[in-house]
Amino acid sequence: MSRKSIRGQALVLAALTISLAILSTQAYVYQRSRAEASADWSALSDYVLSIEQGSRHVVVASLVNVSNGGAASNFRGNLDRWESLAAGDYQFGRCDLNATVASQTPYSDGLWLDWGTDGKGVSSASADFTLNLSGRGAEIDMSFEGNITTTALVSGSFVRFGGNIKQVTVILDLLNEGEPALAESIDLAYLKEAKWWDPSVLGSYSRQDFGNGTYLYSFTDEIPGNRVPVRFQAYDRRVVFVQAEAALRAG
Amino acid sequence: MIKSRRGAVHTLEAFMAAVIIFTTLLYAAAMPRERDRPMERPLEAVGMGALLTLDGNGTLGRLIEAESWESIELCLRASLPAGVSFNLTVLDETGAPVNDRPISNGGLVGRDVESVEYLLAVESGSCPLYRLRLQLGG
Repeated sequence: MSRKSIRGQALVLAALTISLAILSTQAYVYQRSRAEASADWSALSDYVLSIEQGSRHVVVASLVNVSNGGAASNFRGNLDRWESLAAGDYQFGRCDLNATVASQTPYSDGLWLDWGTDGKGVSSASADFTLNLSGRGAEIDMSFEGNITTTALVSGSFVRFGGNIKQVTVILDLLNEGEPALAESIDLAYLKEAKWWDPSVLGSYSRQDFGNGTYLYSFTDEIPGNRVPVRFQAYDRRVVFVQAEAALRAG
Repeated sequence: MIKSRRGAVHTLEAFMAAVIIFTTLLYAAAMPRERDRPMERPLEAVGMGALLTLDGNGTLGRLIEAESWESIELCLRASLPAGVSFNLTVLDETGAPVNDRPISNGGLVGRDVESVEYLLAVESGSCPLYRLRLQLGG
């Protein structure tokens, strides 16, 4: 066999080798990407997400309950029920969910209800969760926090028109987890002669919703004194109740 | 004459080599396209994803509390891919069925049948807890 003939066969052999290299590389990359996006992993991560989401719902439900007059112990009770429901689920093996209510200041039994007179009201519930999944090929150990906080911030001032006639302008900012949030309902009242009054019955009453969690109110009435105490009682869209009071000064 | 034949053979060999390389490249380029076919996502993941989305803003819990089984059925019809049949059973904490009518798009049909369980907490004062059993066929 001549050298030229061998060269031709070597060319075909080289082409085959290159083809094999390309195909094997492509197959390897393909298999790797398939393994990463495998269905089992997708279902498992969705399952973990569902537990995390459910835990958050439990914290919200507990805060709704307690902020509307329920017993503080309901929070722990709801978490215990949720833990035991999760423990009975064996889709991905043994599921151990443990919740610890926040105890550091200002929380007590996982709750912080501060409906103060300094222009700020807070309704909050917080718990730390640890989730451990084991068996059926899944081993997951993770922790996450469930903190739900509704905050009401009150600010404003009044203008005296002569005597005790005052035009009051007051603003409520509602926040969920520190972000502006819409209210389900708001009740505004002002203190006059040791009694809370509803300004919405006044002809001068106006309300403006800026659509971003800020609500502006204005009304005029005869109110004795150098300050006008106002009180907001609000429910956010989750029906968490929060209250805040402020003593407005002349602006 | 021999030289001419050799030249023809070399041309043929070069052509073969080019065909091999070209075919390989063509096949290699086509391979990843098959990866994300919808059928590769199993029913289990499809069902869990649908329930997770519906529960994201608390809609699913509110509908169950309101016993709006028809609305839940419509939501599932919209969330699940066409061609996937489903049957949802809502169980309370004790495991007793809550829905008094089937939440289904007409029975389970398909070669594969999968079942997904979803734990649900409702954002309302009494914090009701449910276990949803979603059977899927496709």
